[in-house]
Amino acid sequence: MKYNLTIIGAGIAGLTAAAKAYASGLERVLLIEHQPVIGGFTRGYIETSFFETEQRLLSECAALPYTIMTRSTVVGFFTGDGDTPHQLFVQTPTETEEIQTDYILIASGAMEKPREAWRISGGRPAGVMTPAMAVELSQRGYRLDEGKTMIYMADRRSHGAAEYLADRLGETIQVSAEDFDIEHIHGTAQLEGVTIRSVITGEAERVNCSRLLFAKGRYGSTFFLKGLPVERDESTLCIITDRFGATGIPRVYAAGSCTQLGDDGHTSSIEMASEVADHLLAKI
Amino acid sequence: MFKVKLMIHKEAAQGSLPERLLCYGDKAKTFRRLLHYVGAVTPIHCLMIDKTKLSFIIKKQTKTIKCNIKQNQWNGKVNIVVDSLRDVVVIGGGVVGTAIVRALSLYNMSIMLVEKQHDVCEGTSKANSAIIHTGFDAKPGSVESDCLRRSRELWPELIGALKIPFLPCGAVMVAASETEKAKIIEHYVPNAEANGVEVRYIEKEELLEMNPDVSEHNLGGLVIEGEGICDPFWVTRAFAQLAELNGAEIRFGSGVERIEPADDDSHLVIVLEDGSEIRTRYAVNAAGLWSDEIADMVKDESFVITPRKGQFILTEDTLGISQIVLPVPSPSSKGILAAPVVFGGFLLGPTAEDQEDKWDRSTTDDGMEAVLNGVEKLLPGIRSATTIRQFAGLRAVCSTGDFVISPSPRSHRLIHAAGIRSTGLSSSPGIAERVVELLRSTDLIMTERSEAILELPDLLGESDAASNGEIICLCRSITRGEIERALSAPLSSTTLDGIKRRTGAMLGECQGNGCIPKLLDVMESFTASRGLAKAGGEEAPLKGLRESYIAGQAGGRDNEI
Ligand SMILES: Cc1cc2nc3c(=O)[nH]c(=O)nc-3n(C[C@H](O)[C@H](O)[C@H](O)COP(=O)(O)OP(=O)(O)OC[C@H]3O[C@@H](n4cnc5c(N)ncnc54)[C@H](O)[C@@H]3O)c2cc1C
Repeated sequence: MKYNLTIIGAGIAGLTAAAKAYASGLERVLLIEHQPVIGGFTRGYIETSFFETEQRLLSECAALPYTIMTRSTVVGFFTGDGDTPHQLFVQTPTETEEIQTDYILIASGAMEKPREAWRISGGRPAGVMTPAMAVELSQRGYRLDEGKTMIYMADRRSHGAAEYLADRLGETIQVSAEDFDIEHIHGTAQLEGVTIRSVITGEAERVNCSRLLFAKGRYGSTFFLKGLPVERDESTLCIITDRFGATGIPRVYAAGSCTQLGDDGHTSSIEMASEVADHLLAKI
Repeated sequence: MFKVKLMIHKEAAQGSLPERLLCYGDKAKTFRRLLHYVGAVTPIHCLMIDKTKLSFIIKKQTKTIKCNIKQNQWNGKVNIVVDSLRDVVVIGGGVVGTAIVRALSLYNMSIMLVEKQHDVCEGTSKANSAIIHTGFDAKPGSVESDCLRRSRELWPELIGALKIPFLPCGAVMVAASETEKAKIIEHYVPNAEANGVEVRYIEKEELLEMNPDVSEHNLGGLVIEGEGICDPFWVTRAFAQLAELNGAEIRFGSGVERIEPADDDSHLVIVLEDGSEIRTRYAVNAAGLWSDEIADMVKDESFVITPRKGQFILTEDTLGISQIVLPVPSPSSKGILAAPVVFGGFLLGPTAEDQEDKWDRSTTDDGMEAVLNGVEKLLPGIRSATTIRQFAGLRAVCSTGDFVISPSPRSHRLIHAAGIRSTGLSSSPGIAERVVELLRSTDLIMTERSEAILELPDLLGESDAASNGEIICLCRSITRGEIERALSAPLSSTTLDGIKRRTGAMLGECQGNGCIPKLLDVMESFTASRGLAKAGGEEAPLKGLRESYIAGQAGGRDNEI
C-alpha cells in the first residue's frame, strides 16, 4: 500500500498533524510509533495538570481511523526523486517492512538529556535517572519509595513527573534548576548523595539521597536520520527546518520538539505541528 | 568434529546435578567431554551446543546415568563416579583470571572460576587504556617483562581465534626537549632491545606527518610498531566464553570469603560469602586489587596492594593522530596519553592518583583538568574537543614492585597471579602460560583435551529481520532479538551493564534512560520463560555492581506482608 502521508511518531506533534489531515479529508495516512501506545515521550506525564491540553488531544485522536503501527521504528529511508515516492524501512516486532509514501512528516520528538551529557563528576551509581525513566519504571510496578529522592526541577517534564510520582516516592526534595547546578554524584554501587551548588550564592552543599531524577535540555530523537541527507543540529540532533517545517529534502517535513524550533519543555509542539500540517496539507 | 545437542530430561534439569561426572567404559572419551558440559555448565547452555541429539537421565540418588546418542545409533550404559573435588578454582573474573581459566580449559580437568560481581570484567579490566603493550619499557629480567614477551607471541593467534577487535596502530613516544630525546636514545632504545622489542627513532617531519595534531615544538619520537589497541571487555568475555565452551564452570555473584586448607593438606576448601563451600586441589588468586585480601586468607602477608586511580576522557571528535601518542614517562606513571579507540573516537588519560578505597572509581573536575593539561602538551588543540564520556580505573600497585606469579609461601595450593599493575591486559596470555606451567609442576595430572575448542564460534551473530523483533534501544537501533541472543549465549549476564557491554544498547545519547524500562521487560519475560535466575537471585534489577539496584522489586514490599 502506498500512502499520501506518513507521520513518523504518534506523539503530540504527530497526532496534531494527523487530526488536521483527517479534518482535511486526507485518506491514506500512516502513523509509525516506536512505543506500544500513542502519546509520545510525554505520555507518562499526560495525566498530570501540566499536560491538560495534550490529554485532550490524546482523547480526540483515539478515534482516528488511520493505521497506526506501534512498537515500530523507522530505521532509515530512501528519498524519492521527482514524483517517485519515498521509501521507508520500518522495524516491526516481526519484520522489516518497506513503506512507500509521497510525503513524510517527521514528528519523532525529543528525549531528555541525561546526567552523562552534562559532564557531572563523581561515581556512576544506580539511582540516577531521568524523570521519564522514573515514570516508566513506576508504571511497571517497580518501587521508587525507598530512601530519599531528589528531583531536579528543570522544565515541564520534571514538574509533570514530580506530580505523577508524588505518592509513589518516599521523602523527596525538589531542587530548582534556576537556583542550583548539580555538581557531583556520590556513591559507587548505589547513589549516596548529590552535591548541588547555588548559582546565586556560589555555595556548595551535599544532600544525601538514594535517587536523583535529573534531565536538562533535550536530544532530538532523530537517530534513524544518521547518514541521511536531512540536516540536523550537531549538538542537539534536532532537525533544521524553516518555519513551515520544510527540511531541505523535497516532500520531507518535520515538526515538534524533534526540530530546532521546538523547546525543551515540549510546550509549543501543538501550535508548531498545526502550522506545519496546514502548510503541508495545502500541497498534498 | 562430533557435535551434540544435549536434551536434558525434565527430572535431571530439576534436580541438582552432581558437580563432576567421570565416565568409564565404551565411548568414555566422547562422553567425558559431553558430560563435562552437564556437570559444569547450566542446562540452558547445554541446549545451545547443537545439531544432533543426546538425551539422558540422571537418577540423583543412585548416581547412575543412562545415555542415548540418537544420531550415532549407539545405546549404552556408562558408569558414573561422582567427584565433587575440583582440580583448580580461579578466583577473580578480570582479564587475568579469565585468561587463566581459558588456558586451563584446554586440559582434561575440572575447573571453575568464581567472581564476586555478576559479570566478568567489573574490576580494573573494564577501565583502562586498552593498549596491548609490547613491553618495550618494562624492566628487563622482571616477571612482568617475561609475561609481556610471552604474550607478544600469543596475541596474534588469540586475536584471530577470539575475533578480538584490534587496531595495530603502533605507538610513538614523543621527545619534547633535548633532555627527553637523550632519555629516549640512552634509556628506552637499549631497554627495548634488551626486551627484544623493535623500536625506531623518527624525526619531526615523520612524526607530524603521521600525527598532524601533535605539537610542532616536538623534536621527534620513538616508534614502537608492535603496540596496538583492543577492546578489553571483548577480550575478557571471550576468554571466559571459550573456557565455558570447554567445560569450565563460571560462577558469578560468588565472592570468596575464606580459604581453609584441609587438615591433611590434600585440598583447599573455598568458602563463599553465601556460606557454600567448594573443595579444590588448587586455587589461583587473580583477584586484582583484592589479591592481597585473598592471600591474607591463608595468612600470607607477603605483598600489599594499593589502588592508584586513572581518570579518562573519551571523545568522539576526530583527532589528527594515527598512533598511540605517549609522553616520556615520569617516575610515578607512564604519563597521560592520547590513543585511538577500536570502535571509533579517542581516549585521553589516565591520571595517576593514589587512594584507599578499592571500589571508588569516581571522576573529579581536577582529574579532568589534569587529563586535559597532560594531553595539551602532546596535542595543543585538545581543549576544543567535545567529550562524550568520562570514567576512571584503579591500578593494583603492588608492594613488591613486580608481578607476583608463584605459589603462596603459606600454601602451595594457592597460586598467586597478583600484583599486576599497569600491563595486565597485555600480559594476561603470558601470565596464564606461567600459571599453567606452575600447575603442571604439581601433582595434578594435566593431559591436553584433544577436542578442545580453540576458536570462539559466532555466538551473538546476525540473524534475519524476522527473529530480530522490534527496536528496543532507539539511539543505537538494538532489537529485542539482539538482546535475547545476548541473554542466551554462553556467559550471559542479567545485569543492565552486562547487556550493555554485550549488545551496545544503552550506549547512545539517552544513556539507557529511554530503553532501560523496555529492556527490563525483555529480560523479565526472557528469564521467566526460560526459568532462569536473575543476577544474584535478586528480584530487583541490577545496574551492574552488586547492590546497584535500578529500583525496588516490582510490587516488592506488598508481597512480603
Ligand atoms: C588507568 C589504567 C590504565 C591501564 N592501561 C592499560 C593498558 O593500556 N594496557 C594494559 O595492558 N593494561 C592496562 N592497565 C592495567 C590492566 O587494566 C590491569 O592490569 C588488568 O585489568 C588487571 O586485571 P585483573 O584480572 O588482575 O584484575 P581485575 O580486572 O580487577 O579483576 C579482579 C576481579 O576479582 C574479583 N574479586 C575480588 N575479590 C574477590 C573475591 N573475594 N572473590 C571473588 N572474586 C573477587 C573482582 O570483582 C574483579 O572482577 C591499566 C590500568 C589502569 C587502572
